[in-house]
Amino acid sequence: MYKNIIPDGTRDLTNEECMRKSKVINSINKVFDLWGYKEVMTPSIEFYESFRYEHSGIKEENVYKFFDSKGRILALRPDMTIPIVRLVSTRFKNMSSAIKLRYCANIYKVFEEFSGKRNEYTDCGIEFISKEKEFSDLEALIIAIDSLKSIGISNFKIEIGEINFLKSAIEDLCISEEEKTTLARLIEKKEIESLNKFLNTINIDESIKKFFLNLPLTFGSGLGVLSKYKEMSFNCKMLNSVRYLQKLAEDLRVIGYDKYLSFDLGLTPRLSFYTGIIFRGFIEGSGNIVLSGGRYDNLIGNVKKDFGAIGFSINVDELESILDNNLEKKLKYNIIFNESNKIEAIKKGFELREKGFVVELIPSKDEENINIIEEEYYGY
Amino acid sequence: MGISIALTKGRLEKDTTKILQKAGFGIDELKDKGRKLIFKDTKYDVSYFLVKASDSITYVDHGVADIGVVGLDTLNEKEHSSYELMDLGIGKCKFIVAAMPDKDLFSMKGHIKIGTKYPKVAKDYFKANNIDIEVIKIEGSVELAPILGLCDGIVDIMETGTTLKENGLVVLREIKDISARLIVNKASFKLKQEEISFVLEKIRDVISNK
Repeated sequence: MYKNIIPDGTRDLTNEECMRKSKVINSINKVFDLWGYKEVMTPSIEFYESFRYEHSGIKEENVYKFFDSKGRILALRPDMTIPIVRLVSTRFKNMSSAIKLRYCANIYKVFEEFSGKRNEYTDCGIEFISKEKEFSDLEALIIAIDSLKSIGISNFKIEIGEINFLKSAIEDLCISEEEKTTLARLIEKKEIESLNKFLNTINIDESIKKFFLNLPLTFGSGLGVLSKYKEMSFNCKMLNSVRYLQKLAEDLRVIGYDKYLSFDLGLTPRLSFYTGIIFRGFIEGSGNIVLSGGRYDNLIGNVKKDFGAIGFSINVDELESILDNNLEKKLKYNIIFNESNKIEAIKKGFELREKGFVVELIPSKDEENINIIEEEYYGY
Repeated sequence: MGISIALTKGRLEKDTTKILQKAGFGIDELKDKGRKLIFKDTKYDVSYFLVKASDSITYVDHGVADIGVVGLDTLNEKEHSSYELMDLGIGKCKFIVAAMPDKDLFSMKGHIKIGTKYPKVAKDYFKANNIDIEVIKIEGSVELAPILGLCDGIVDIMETGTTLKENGLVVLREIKDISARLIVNKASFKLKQEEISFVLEKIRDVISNK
């Protein structure tokens, strides 16, 4: 019954489709390599338990689950950060210097039927685990920008936030935990009307109310927006967040990367293991987030004392879907030969392949001798 | 950079075009639409298209449309990732729970069946009230279902209440107020901030002067 169909949200890729995707992956991996990140591969299957902890942000219904022979619940990995953290706690346990890892892995999530979302997609990403934190943040951002540039796109924005800004603004309010969560959610989703209504139901200072109402609409490119945040800040932690971003932004400006930057401090990420800066990439033509990452010191600190970590991943399938045909026309050879010229044809093939050409050998009864035909194909 | 707006056709269409006109957009094509599906603004680099409410969310979520106009009823029913930026104050109605006069759902014992076009809203509401219900999805004329005995009560939107009254149903609870919202795709808002803010400002001016 299911003979000819594939599950929802999955795809078969063939020929040119594979090449296009590989080309994107290779460009990104090359950038990661050039910055000294070493590849790791982890199993697609993990224990479901690993992804179930407080603040994981992963919804139970979005994970593919099944059982092993002992009845334990397994999961197809719904993200790569957790497997990397596990790896750090085992294989890199005794490493005292910085650990730079890269991966390219298929990620699985169950999305609603017919939503047009992919249940299996490829993420290419890096994780930078080190004791030093400031420079690592800068490095991760530069690599994020470089990897998007490497694919040949220019109209993109890396939006940076710092979760301690909003967190510390909410932290000290005299409202219930539940109200705090609601407040953060409304701000992040920019539900202005509901936010307005909600703010009128809780007992907080008028000036702070005004701050929360303005926050969702205060964002944007240019360093000017950071000065606005500075003016809005009403405690030191918030000021520190802004100052830190200003420092980062200034460094990025000096190397000419400010045109790719945008800021939004109203972000409270879904994956709430983040502890510092968070960022995501938007590209014109895609309504989705193509790159996302951030700092997650607690998660890594639990398994490796004094270490922090920052990482990001790029959704290759989302990227690939909006790129123009990135393949080039190339020349290949077809050698059509008669049975009696077999050896000569094979030798000729070796010769041409040596020069880097694609050569196909085609035996034919209609061909009396040997015939070499040029042909164009799409490749990279 | 051009902006595209997905408008909900039907109930909200007329009021939305009115707001756009007042805001100074060139919506001549929208008023005289014939069989066309896509309309160009005559003054600005904006294009409009008319779609069903839940499709409007889909178009905006995928970034095919930058902005959408859609009722809160549909937004509450459908998972989406777009920003909900403005209450347009049009298409006002309410989510309500209604039943036949002899059925008080909230003190009833035993299994409760609710007929609705909005399964998620219905489930969420009763769950928040600690009541376990079975939802039966109905596509239209929901009032009919409890009369015929398909379900014990309904969750639906109510504008004036006339239909309910005429069919002998009584409103048991009001769940929440509904009106049309303006939604914006996440990526678009970031990449076309200036253009989208321009549109938002113009519309906001009209709404706040109402």
